Amino acid sequence: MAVEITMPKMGLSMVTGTIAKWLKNEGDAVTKGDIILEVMTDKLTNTIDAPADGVLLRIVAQEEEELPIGALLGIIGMEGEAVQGAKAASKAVPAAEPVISKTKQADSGSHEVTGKRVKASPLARKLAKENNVDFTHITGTGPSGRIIRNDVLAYIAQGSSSQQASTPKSSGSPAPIEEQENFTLTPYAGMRKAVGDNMSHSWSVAPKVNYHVSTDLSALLALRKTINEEAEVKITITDMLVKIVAVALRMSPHINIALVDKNIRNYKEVHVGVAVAISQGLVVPVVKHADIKTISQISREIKDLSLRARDNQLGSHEMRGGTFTVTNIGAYQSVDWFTPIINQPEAAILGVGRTVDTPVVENGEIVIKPMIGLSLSFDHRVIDGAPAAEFLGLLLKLIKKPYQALI
Amino acid sequence: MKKMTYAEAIRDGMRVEMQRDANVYIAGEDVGKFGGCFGVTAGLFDEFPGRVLDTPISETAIVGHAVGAAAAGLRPVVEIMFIDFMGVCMDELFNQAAKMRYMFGGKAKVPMVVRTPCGGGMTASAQHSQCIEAWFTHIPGIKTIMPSTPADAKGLMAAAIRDDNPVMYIEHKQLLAMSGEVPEGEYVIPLGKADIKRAGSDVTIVAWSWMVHKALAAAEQLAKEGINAEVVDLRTLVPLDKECILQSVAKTNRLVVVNEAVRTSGFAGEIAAIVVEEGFDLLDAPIVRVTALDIPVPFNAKLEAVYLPNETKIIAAVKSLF
Amino acid sequence: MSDVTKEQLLDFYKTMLTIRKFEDKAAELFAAGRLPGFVHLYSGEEAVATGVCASLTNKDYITSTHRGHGHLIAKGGQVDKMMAELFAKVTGYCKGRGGSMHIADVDLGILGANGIVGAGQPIAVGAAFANQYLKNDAVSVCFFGDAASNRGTFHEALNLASVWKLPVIFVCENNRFGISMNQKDHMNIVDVSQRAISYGIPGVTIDGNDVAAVYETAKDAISRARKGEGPSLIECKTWRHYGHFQGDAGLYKDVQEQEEWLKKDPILKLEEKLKVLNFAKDTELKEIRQQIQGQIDAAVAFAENSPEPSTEDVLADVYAP
Repeated sequence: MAVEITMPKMGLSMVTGTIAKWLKNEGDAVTKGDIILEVMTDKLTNTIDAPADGVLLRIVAQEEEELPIGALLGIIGMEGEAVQGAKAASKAVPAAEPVISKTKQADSGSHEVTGKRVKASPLARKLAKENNVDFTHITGTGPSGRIIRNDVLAYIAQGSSSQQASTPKSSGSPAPIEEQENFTLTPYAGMRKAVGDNMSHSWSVAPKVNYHVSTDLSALLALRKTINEEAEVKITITDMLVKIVAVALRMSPHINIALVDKNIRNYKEVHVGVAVAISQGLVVPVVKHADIKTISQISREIKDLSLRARDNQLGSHEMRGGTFTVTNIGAYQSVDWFTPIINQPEAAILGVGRTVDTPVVENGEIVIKPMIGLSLSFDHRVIDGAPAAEFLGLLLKLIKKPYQALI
Repeated sequence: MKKMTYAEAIRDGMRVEMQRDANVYIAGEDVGKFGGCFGVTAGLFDEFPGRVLDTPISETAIVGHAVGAAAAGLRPVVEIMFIDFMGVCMDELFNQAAKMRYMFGGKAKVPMVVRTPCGGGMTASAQHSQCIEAWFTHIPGIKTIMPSTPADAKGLMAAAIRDDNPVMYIEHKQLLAMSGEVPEGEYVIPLGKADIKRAGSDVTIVAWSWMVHKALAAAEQLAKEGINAEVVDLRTLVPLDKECILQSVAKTNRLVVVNEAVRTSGFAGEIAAIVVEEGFDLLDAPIVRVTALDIPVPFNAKLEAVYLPNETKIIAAVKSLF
Repeated sequence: MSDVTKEQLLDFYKTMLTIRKFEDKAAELFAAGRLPGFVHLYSGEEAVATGVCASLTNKDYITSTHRGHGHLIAKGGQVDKMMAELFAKVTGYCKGRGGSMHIADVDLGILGANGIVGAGQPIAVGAAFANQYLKNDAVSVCFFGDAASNRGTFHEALNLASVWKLPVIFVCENNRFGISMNQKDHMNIVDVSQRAISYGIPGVTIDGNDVAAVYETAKDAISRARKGEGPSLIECKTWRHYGHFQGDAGLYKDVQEQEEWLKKDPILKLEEKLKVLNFAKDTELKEIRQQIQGQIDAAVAFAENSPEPSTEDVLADVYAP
């Protein structure tokens, strides 16, 4: 018999709680009394214990969701048990604005448990199935919180669609469907379309400003050389830039933000997405907490994420939650600067171009320096020119004195 | 091309076919010298002696005789003054005309056209304002046409007359005076071809007859608000251009069906059912119908306006999908 | 009477006997559970169809009723194709899609039996209009029962035929019953022919069990129609031997009345006449009866040995191409 985990009342004044962290995954065995998740209220972070022995069958409430007392958070039951009659998490959500601060999905009919349907359009369902996407992680933005096509596309665009190695790669490049004399026709679909739709969306909603600058990379290169003389895993310029960006973001909370619906999210954590080109398109795995990870941790993580991205083996959770993105095309040695498109709903992105030995004036003398091209694009709706320039300046400073980012 | 009204276009369609085929004739109440209650047949009486016949007020005999005449080799085009009067002659249409060919093992053919005007918005009250096309679409063996423009009216009339089956050619009273460019001479629009009256990408609005114009007006308004609607004019309900509807929905993923008829068991429901059955995965939102209310058509203009679908109701329906 | 020759009378006899044998066989097959659907039998009324259709050609049209086997046979229908249709076989007149109540053959001018009482009347008017419009000298004949003259279709059809002066003959087979309802209970006149007065057309009442009388009267009306003199109404008084449909025992009939009418059986009357006029001997008539019985038995064999329609064709012929 399935047991519901609901949002407990933790204090007299508590109205809602926010899911801070699930400590168990779906499918994990739990014993009654095990701490299974953390919930934040306006006052403190609390833990919630498993109300019964069994298996965590379903995580209904996602991290960062703000939910009222009594809302359904998850289900515990016997392994393989079909969960029926779970009451909707959302039904208790008051209409009051503040409660819906994070997402529209508070109408929780959309997040469902077996036996009660996820509210999703047929098209969204089809797309999700084709791309092996689990609805429970998607926020519905359609009427009544219904998950619609764009929600799935946005979700896919944030990461690879496949969650299981065994699943056929239906999200890959569609096969040519028609041979013509001078060309073949390939459907604009799957990941190609998902990426495309995401780009179009960003392009159409964000008044984007691009800053371009070149800077001396010699200090960073020297530091990398030193590290790599010792390190088991050779670190890359990207690894170092991700670390530097993360540290800069930690120091620049006004850049580490996102515009979601009618609210600006001021992130408390720094999660840096790294764009990875794969044969079917583009994915952006996320290095979580990059500001507090060591460079070698970051390096290992990016290598692992990139490899698995190319094999289409990333979990969807590994492509979500980014607060800023770095995209490095320097390796192609062909581009100095470009105008990267912001990975919505993030507010800014750093584009990294090639590094070229260039004569520059230093202390009144012309010297040859390895100059790297940097391009910062930001969403002017939420970031103004001055703070963006300040942030870029901070990046330049850290690139010139990279050890500062390591301290 | 020539500028003419919808009524003139219907007449022109009949005229050209009567010139082409001596077996085409017209019969109905007051269609002769008088030119028809709405003037659609005006002038044809003199132009085609002996081929435009006034009948007694006998809808049963009008449609019933057409069945016999068609089975015996003629191509009657009969007028029923208001579609509301079809109840008087339904047996002749649905048990006789519609079933003859099938019941007789394919040996008979019944090439007849029943012209009749439908529609409200003229304070004509409950027995002169209805849209009952679903009565006919519910009967296998009959084709049903509802043109929305003068050009379509002419081209579809020609196709209706040339068709070897009973055809309900349903005009709309609100459209009779509407003018537009119409091709001269022989002009045939094949039955079963819908027409995209306005291309769009965000939502498909399926409509026919008068409602096409309501849908177009709504689409213009919606465009100003950033919603780009595609308006599909069915033109013929049977045979139905399912492909056109499904292709449009494949593009827009949203469907609103506008039908002037009362809601329950209306043809809008049929469209919705087809799209759900054959295009379920194309849908990103529920299908919404905009129809008249399930009441007899009220006489009072204010009440009738509430009864009828209109731009505002269409716009609201479209917006509910986003 | 004078116009009717020996050959004609013998032809009438063969036709009437064919109808009778067909109907008797249908009754037998139905009772044995070998026929699908339901059947309405024409036995007792054979003289009407036979006498009227004798003056028609394949160019002329008839519309028939749910009790239509007799009209079809009299108009030239083949008993094997009719029987196959009763058996719902693909070799039937309607490929097994129509059944007893919908047998038709437009090539023979048969615009169908009809399952709706009174429905044939405006259709016959339309066919007559086609004849007039095409100036082809053909006529149409509408068969219907006494009760069908109560339908609105009857009045609209007669009125339109009259004002348009169409070549159509309305033949009312007054068998005294609208299903179970006696004529005296379903109309307040004795002779349906009186209704012709309302429409300004000739109307007569005759003995519908006298094939020669029917022939003569119909011939005149048909001739007037061919000459463009407009429609006529002929009421033929007759009697339905069976119930309304097979399975209806006809208990509402007066036993004595039934006895009397059986004595006036049109076939018996014709046999007597043939013998009185010395047109045929018993042995000859017996020979004819055996010959026709053979045709009917052959029709049943043909029907039973015919294939059913293919389910693949179920959608065919809803619409003409």
